[in-house]
Amino acid sequence: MINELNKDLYKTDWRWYEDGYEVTRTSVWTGPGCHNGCGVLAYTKDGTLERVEGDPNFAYNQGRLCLRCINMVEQIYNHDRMKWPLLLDGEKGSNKWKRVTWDEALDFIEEAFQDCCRIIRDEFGGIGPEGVVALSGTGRNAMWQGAMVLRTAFGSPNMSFGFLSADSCYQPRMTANLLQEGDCWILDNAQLHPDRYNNAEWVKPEVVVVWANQPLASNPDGFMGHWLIDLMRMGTKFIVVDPALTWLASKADIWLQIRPGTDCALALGMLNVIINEDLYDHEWTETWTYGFDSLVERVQEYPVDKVAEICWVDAQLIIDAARMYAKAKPAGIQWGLAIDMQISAMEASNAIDDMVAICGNLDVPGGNVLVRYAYNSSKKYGAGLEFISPEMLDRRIGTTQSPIHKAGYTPFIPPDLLLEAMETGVPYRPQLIWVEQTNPIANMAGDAPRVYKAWKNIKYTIVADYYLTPTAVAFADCVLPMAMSIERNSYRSWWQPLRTITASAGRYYECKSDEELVMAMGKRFNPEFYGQFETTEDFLTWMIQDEGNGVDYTFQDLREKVYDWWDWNETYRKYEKGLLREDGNPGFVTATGLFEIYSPLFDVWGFDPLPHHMEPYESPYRTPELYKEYPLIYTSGHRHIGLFHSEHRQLPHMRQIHPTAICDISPELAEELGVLEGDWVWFENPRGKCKQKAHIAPGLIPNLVRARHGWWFPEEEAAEPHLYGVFDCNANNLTTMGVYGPTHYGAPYKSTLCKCYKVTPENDHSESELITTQPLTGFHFTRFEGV
Amino acid sequence: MPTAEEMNRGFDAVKYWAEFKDYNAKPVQHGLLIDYEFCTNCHSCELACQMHLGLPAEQWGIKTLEYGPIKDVNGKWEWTYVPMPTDLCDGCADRTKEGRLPMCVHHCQAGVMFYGPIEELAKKAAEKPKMVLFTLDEREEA
Ligand code: SF4
Ligand code: SF4
Ligand code: SF4
Repeated sequence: MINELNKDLYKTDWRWYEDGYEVTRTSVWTGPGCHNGCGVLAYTKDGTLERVEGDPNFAYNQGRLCLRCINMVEQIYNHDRMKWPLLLDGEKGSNKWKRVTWDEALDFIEEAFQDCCRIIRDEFGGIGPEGVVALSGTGRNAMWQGAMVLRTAFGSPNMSFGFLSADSCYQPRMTANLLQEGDCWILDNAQLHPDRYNNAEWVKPEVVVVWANQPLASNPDGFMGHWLIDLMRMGTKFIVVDPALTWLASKADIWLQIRPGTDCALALGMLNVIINEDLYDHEWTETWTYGFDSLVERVQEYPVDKVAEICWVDAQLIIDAARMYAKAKPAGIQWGLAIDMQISAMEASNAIDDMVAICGNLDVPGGNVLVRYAYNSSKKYGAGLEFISPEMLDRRIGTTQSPIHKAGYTPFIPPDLLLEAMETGVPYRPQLIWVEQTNPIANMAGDAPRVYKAWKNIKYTIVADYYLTPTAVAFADCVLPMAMSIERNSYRSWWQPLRTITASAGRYYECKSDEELVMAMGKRFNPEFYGQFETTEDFLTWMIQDEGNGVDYTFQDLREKVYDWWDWNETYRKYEKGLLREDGNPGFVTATGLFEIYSPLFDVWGFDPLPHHMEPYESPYRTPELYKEYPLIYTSGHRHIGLFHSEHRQLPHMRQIHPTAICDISPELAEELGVLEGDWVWFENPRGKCKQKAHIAPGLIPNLVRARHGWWFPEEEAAEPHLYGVFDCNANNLTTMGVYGPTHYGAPYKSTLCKCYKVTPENDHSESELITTQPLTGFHFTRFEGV
Repeated sequence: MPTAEEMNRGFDAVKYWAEFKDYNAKPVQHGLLIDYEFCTNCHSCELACQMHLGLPAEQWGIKTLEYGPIKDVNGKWEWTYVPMPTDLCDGCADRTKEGRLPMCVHHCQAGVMFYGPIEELAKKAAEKPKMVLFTLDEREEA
C-alpha cells in the first residue's frame, strides 16, 4: 500500500471531469522555459488554472515535477505579465508605452519592415528582407516559431541565437556528432521506451560519466537530470567531471576536478590509457571506424602525466577513470554545456565521442544511443529554410567566414559576426531585430555591455515575450504578449515521444501563442502560403506531418493520443540494421559510411582532423602576465536548481529559494579577502566588472570562482539608466564576443580570468547606470580564431 | 555521603522512560518514509507542499535540512539533505482520503519519499540504511 497509484483518479484519457474540475493531460514545454517536456495534469475551473500535478501515467517524468511546473499557477497569473501589445511612447529605454490592438501592432511591424527593406536597398545595395534578423533563445518551444516568422513571413535568412558567442550551447557537441557519425547521441536512461526500466532490451549502465554539466539542475538537452538518481539507486557507478563539488560529485566514485577549458586534454589522456592498455573494443573499432590508427598516434602526444598537469587533475585518478569507463559494459556518458563553452569545444566533443565509439558503447542498450526527432518531425531552428532563395541565402551575415556554417551544418548565422555587422555596417547593418522569447543582455550575450551598445544602433526591435525584460525596455519599439504552455496548442517532437501540448487554461488577456503569432504574421506577410490554414490547429497538422516525413495524422489526433512513442528511437544498433542511411545499407550517415575518428571534412576545411588541446584564451599558461593581475579562473553560468536562465525573477516562490545572484568562492579565497558568507564581492577583468553575493563553497579549486548568470531585478526601476539593474550583477560583463576556436564553435564563457575583492561603501555603485549612460560611439573589436 | 540511589529516592530513569506516556499522544496510522541517502535538495517537495497548503513564500510545510558539504575525518565528502515536515504539515489528509498521494511524495524528483501505513513503512525502512520515518500528525484541530 506504499505510494499506490489510484488508477481511477489518474486516468489515461486526454481529458476528463471530476469534482467540478476539467482535467487535461498535456506536456509542458515553455513557458516556463525548459529543455524537458514533462507530463502534467492541469486542473481548471471555468478556464482558470487552479492546480497542476505531474502525470504519473507518463513514463518520461512518472509524476515528478521540478519547481517551475509546480509553480505554474503563480507563473501564469503573475500581475507583471504582459497583457496586451505595447508600442513605445517615448524614447527607447524610457519604459513609456501605449497599449495597442494586435492589428495596430502588426501595422507598425509592416511599416517598420518596409522601411527596413528600403534602407537595405538604398544604403547597402541589398535586396531588402535580409535587413531583418531573428534572435532565438535556447532549445524551448520557441525555436521554430521565430525561424518561421523570419523565413516565411519576412523572407530573411538571418537567424541567430541571442548573441550566444560562437553558438556555445549544444551546437558544438551536436555538430561534432553529426560530422563524425551523422546522428546525435544521448545517454540511454531507458527514456526512449514507454516501459522504461522494465524494457526487455534495456540494460543498466554499469558506469555513467557526468561530464561538464549538473543535470539535476539543468535538465539539459531533453534529459531529465533526476533519471540519474534512478540509476544511482540501481547501483550504477558515477564518474563526475566538474571543477566544482556538485552534489553529484560528492557522491561520485571518481570525481575529476578539472581546470575549466581543458576537457579535450582530459579526454585525450583517458584515450591514451584506453588505447595503450588495450582496453578498447577491437571488433567494433575495426568494423565501424575510419582513421583509428591516426588516433593511436595522436594520443601518444597526451601521456597521462602531461594531461594531469594541463587539467590540474591527479594522474592516478585519470588512469582510474579511464579504466573504470572502458572496462564497464555498458558505460554511458552524460555530457553537457561546459564542453561547449570553451574554445576547444569541437575538439573536446570529438575526443569524447571517440571514447564512446571505440569502447563499443555507441547505440547499445545502456550506452549512448543515436536518436532523432520523433517521427522525423524535425522542423526547428531550420524551419522554413525552403522558403529562402539561393540568392537570398548568399546574403546571410558572416557565414562565408566559417566553413561549417557555409557548408550548411547549421541554420544559424554566427552571433559574433552579426555583432560585428551591427557595429560596422559591413556587409550591412541589420535594421529590424525580431526577438522571439530571448533576453540576451540579461542572459546569454557574451560581453553584454558591448552587445548593448551595438544594439542601440539598430533602428527597429520587436520583442515577443511574457514579461517586459531589460532587452525589451532597452531596445524595443513594440512588445508582443505571449501565452505560456498551459495556454497553448502545440507539440514537441524533440527526441521521444512525440507529445501534444494542449491548451488547458483559458487565455491570459490578449496573449497569443508563438504558433498563433506565426499564423498572424504569416497571414499578414505571406497570405499565399498561410491562406491554406484556416486555424492554428491546421497549421500544426502541417508541421507534424512535415510534408510526408512526419506522422500521418492530425494535431487533433495527437491531442487525443497525448503521447506517441516512435519505434525507430527504441531500436538499438541501428547502424548494423541499415536504419540510419537513406540507401538502407548498414553504416553511418557519413561519406565513408563509418564512424569518422579522422575527419576528412575537417581536413578539407583546413582544421586539424583529430582532436587537440588548446589553452583557454585567457589562462595561467597562455597569458601568464594577465594571470598575475587576474589570478582567478572565472566561470559563469552554473545552473540554479529549479530556475531557467533569466526567467522567474518576478515570482516570490522562486525568489524565496534563489533570492539574488549568489556566486561561489572557495574557503581559501574568502579567508584571503576577509569575505564572510553573504558578503557582496566584485569580479573584475579588463572587459568589465559585476558584483555578486558570496557563498563560500567547500571543495572548489581554491583560485576558481563561479558567477551566476541571468540576474536582473524586475522589482527595481525599469527605465534607463537603471534598466532593472541588468548590468549590476551580470556575469557577462566579463565574458567575450569574437573569441572562439578555429571551427568557429565554442567561446570561453566558462574559462576566463578575473580578480575578486569586497564590495565596500566606497566602491559600491550600479554598473548598470554607468554602462547605459556611456557614449554610444566607437566599438571594441575582438577577434580570436583559435590555434 | 548518600548513595545515588538514596539521592534519587529510588527513581529509576531507564524504567521511567521505558514506561513514559505522552498524554497528548494519539496513535498514528500513516507516515512519510524518506530515503535521504538520495535526496538532492531539488526543493520540489517544499514548493509542492506550499501549493497544497496555500502558503506564501518563506512559510513551509516541509523543509530540507542540510549537512555538509564537508570533508570528513576519513577524507570523504559528505553532503546530506533530509526533508523535515513542519508544524504546518497536515499530512495531506484531504488528498490521501481520496486516494491521492501527498503532494510532496507525488512530486519528489528523486523518488525518495514514501507514504503509507506505519507498519509497512517500518518494514520498508528495514530494507536499506539511511532511511528516516516521520509519523504524520493526524490529530484533528480542535
Ligand atoms: S523539467 Fe520542470 S519545467 Fe521542465 S517540463 Fe519538467 S517539470 Fe516542467
Ligand atoms: S504530507 Fe502534505 S502537508 Fe505534509 S509535507 Fe507533504 S505535502 Fe506538505
Ligand atoms: S523532492 Fe525529494 S529529492 Fe527533492 S528535496 Fe524533496 S525529498 Fe529531496
